[in-house]
Amino acid sequence: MRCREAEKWVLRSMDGTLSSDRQSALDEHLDRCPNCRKARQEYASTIAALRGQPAAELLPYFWNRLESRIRERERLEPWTVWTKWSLRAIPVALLLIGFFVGAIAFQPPVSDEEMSQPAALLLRNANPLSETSTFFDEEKSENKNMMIIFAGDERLPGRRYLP
Amino acid sequence: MDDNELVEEARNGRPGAFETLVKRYEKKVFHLAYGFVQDSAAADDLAQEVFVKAYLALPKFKGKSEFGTWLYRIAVNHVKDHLRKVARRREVSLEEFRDFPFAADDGIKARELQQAEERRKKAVLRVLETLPPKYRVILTLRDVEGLSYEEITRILKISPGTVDSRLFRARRMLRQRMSPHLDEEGGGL
Repeated sequence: MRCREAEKWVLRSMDGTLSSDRQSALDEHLDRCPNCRKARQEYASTIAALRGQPAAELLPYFWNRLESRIRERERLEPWTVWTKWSLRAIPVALLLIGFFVGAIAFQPPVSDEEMSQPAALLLRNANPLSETSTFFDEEKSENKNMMIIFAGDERLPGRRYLP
Repeated sequence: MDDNELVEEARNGRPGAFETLVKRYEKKVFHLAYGFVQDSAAADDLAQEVFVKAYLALPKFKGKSEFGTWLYRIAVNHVKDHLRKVARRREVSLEEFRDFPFAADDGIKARELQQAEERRKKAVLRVLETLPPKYRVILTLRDVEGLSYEEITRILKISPGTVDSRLFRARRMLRQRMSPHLDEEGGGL
């Protein structure tokens, strides 16, 4: 048996969890090994010092002091009320989410006529910026103004002023 | 009335239900905290905080484990947090008990032997304070509080193998740090 293993078995032996055949093997090793005997003595001394600690007495009025502390904490932390009720709030929240999702899903689609000109252009895969760039390229200011007026007239979709 | 029934009644707001639970476990939680801090006032404060946390967490208690185990788990986690905060603030000096006579000579009187033993008990607690929190926790649960391996497994939510190996490393480190103060006969206990 190696000393490292013997060290583990020494501790198990102190805990009463070492089997009897292993205990015999350990005893044999300890008879031959002074280092492991020393280790056992030190473990026994250390653990006995830990286990032999004096017991302390509970301070008086534990519950009364605790009760006021709980009341104080509840007063200071209103979110604890939420924690208490959150489980019950989950089904209500799910119902509301379902209602909004349903409302969005069953809403009729926006018709082409109601779209703005840039939106309609985008729907036709046209670039609204290239449409407007011609306005800015026009040198004569009266032509530019007429182009803007024609483009802004909702009754004349697709029509352009050509100078 | 068993713990689970009392928990259910406390959750439903019956006056006195939580008080009964507290009175059932106050000493155990206090002693557990005392095992870590070795100070009555500090242990009392920790125990009170543990019960406040337990009260606020009652709606989350599913009853999968026993109430006592659940409460102990809260207590251990709370004490671990406390130890981390304290460790940041304080460096424990081992110098102050370096010259303690941990072992007695053959001719020493019984009273002196007893005094040496008292000093050794205090010293081992001071050394315990210098260990990493996870080692300190398992040593306190096993060797100070005397909990079984099974109880420690349930409270710390670790496997029995981990309890065994962690306890071994913790005791080894404690012995190594105590070793300069222990003589050939292991302190005479």
